[in-house]
Amino acid sequence: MANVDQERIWELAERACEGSLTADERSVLEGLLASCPEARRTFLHYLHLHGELYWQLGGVPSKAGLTRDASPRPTKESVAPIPHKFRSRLPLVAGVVTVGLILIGLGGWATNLFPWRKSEDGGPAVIARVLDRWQLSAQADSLAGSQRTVELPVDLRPGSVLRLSEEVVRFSLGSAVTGVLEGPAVLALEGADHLRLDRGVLTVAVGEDKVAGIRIGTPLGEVADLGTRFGVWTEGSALEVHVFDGLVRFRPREGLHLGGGHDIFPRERRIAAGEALRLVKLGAKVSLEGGKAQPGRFLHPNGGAAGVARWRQAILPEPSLAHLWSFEGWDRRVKLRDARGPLHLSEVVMFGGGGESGPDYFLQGADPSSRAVMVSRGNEFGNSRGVAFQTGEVFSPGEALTLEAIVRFDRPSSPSLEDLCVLIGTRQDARRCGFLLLADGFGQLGVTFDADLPWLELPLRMISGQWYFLAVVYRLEVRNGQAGTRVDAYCASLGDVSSGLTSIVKSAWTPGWIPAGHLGVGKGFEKNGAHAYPWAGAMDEIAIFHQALSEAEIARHFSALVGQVAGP
Amino acid sequence: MTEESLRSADSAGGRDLDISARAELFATLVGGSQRKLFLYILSLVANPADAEDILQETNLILWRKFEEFRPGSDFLSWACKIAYYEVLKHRARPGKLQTGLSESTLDLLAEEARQVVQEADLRREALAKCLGQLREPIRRMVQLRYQLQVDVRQVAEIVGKSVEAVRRALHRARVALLRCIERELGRTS
Repeated sequence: MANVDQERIWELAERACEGSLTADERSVLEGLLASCPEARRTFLHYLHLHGELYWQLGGVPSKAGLTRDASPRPTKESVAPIPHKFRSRLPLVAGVVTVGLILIGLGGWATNLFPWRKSEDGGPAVIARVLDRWQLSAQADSLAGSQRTVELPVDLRPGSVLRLSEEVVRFSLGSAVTGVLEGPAVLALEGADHLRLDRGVLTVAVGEDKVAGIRIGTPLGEVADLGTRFGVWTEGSALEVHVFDGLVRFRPREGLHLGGGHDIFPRERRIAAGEALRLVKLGAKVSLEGGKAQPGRFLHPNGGAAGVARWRQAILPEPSLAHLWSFEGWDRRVKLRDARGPLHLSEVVMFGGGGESGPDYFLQGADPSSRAVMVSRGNEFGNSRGVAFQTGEVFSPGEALTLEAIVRFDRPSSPSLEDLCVLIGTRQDARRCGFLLLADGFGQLGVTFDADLPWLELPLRMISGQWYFLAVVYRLEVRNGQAGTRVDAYCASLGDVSSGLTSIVKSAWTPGWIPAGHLGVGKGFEKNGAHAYPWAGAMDEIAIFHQALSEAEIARHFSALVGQVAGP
Repeated sequence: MTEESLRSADSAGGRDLDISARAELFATLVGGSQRKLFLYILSLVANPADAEDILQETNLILWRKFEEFRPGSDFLSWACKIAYYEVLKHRARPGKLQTGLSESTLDLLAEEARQVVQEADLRREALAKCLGQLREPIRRMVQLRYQLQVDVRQVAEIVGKSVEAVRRALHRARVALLRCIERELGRTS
């Protein structure tokens, strides 16, 4: 290469690639190319690179960085999608060959003749991929019409439609976009940059690598990303767009009119980070309302099937699971539903009143795959003020049960030992109460089934603001002729899972047994049965099993939660 | 179709195969060589749109002449020869060849290009590694130029730089990639 002016050849090759070679430059180039094979190879390598970049990157969703997967040899099963630049010309070319093939009776595989670059992996170009999937209730049954056994990842091609019941999928779109779709939902993938959300909750994170924004069509208009993370919810004639990072452009559907006047809807509206837009269509009119973005309403797209989702997946198939309150979903009714049994919840106000506010229904859960709720507890007279939940149907405990909960304790502003914060409770009369799990104002946990006796204290004082996995097993057991409850308890701080699941109580015994009755979730009952003792903190998940789970079973659930491989 | 069945189909002779097997063999061979054929043509015409047109025309000719293909011989070489004639036909159209190179220069290049294209797989693997090393905002310009297939002027509008600056940046990116590819190939060898 010593005699070849490599830099000059590259420079001229660049001119050739960009179509700006002058006559003089062409003359110089021809002289150089005629001089030796090495000069020609230098030139060819430059153009070769130009072509390779065009071929590899041109309109193809990449999987890693700027590249895409190596192309396997086309197979007989290949279908031949058409790269956009070829579309206009392909009918002419492929048509000639195809007609010939049809004439000789081979039209059935004519699409195999020209397996263009985008079909090299078979079938139309993959534009999206379902990465994770998790159920929200025992009723979840389908992913785009398939059965639960569908194996991940699932490749999605243009025209694919995700129809979700009560489940969540996380998907990638190209290399730079991640989305989480929460059912019930219908999402159509119309192209690599174009989705249509007919129903459901969709959160999208667009990486900085994404050159062109994505567009999401909805029944009321189109949401276009301008480099951002945002959430879209649509149901019937309502739409909400919440922007968490960056900027989003919203264009209403043609012909929409604002309610209360005759203004034509603004042609376009930009929604900045921290802002939200809500539209409701009533008849021919649309009401429009701005507000603050609420991240807690949406699952985080980069969270993946994190611990809570995995835990839920682990317990949902188990026959012993009787009730599950996961507090997922968009509206209050769905959030308060028993995802496994008939014990749906409704709001109840403590006997001293609701206090300053109601429950918070849209909290980030213990991880990004989950949401939580927080009952309200009065700053003053907290034992008697607040709003929490209760089952509409009566709960019957049987002779053994297990409670698993993912909860956070938030210490009241002026805590005292007299504060009672009940997570789960029933009550039959002044004495027989079934407070399955409660805490004092400092987070000290306990259990009590006889209001006239001291609590059975569990040796755990919860750290305020920290998420915990708690599992308590209750067995009806008679000791010395007296009916009582044998209690085994386990806990793990989710702030530091390295310490693992700890057995904090083994075979402890306390008088009394859980009475049947309406179940308070996030609250207990006063002696006279009035609603009282709201929980202080957030509840992500609460599950009740109608049998005493073994330590191994609980450990397996915990392993799912923290992503460990369960032991034998 | 496996490599083995392909070889046996080759040795059986494209002429002697029934029409179904012949068409299937053709589909497999032409499908497997599209990228290299495109690169070969592009290295002679420089303009990707022209290269696409010529590739389409070449595919048709290949199908028409497939009976002349000598089984057991190198399909890509045979296809490149036909593609070269299509390049010359394209060049004969007024104002059609972007580089404007003479036929004698194209002759020289065509011979060399057939050899260069044989290295395409190795260079492609090396390129895949090198692309990840591009830094922003060069990487973004490369994406715009090739992924969205917009010309330099449009890239300049999008990134808010002058056309000349974008051209220089893209050229530097290509040169950096070429050097990186050579390093990678040197490492491999």
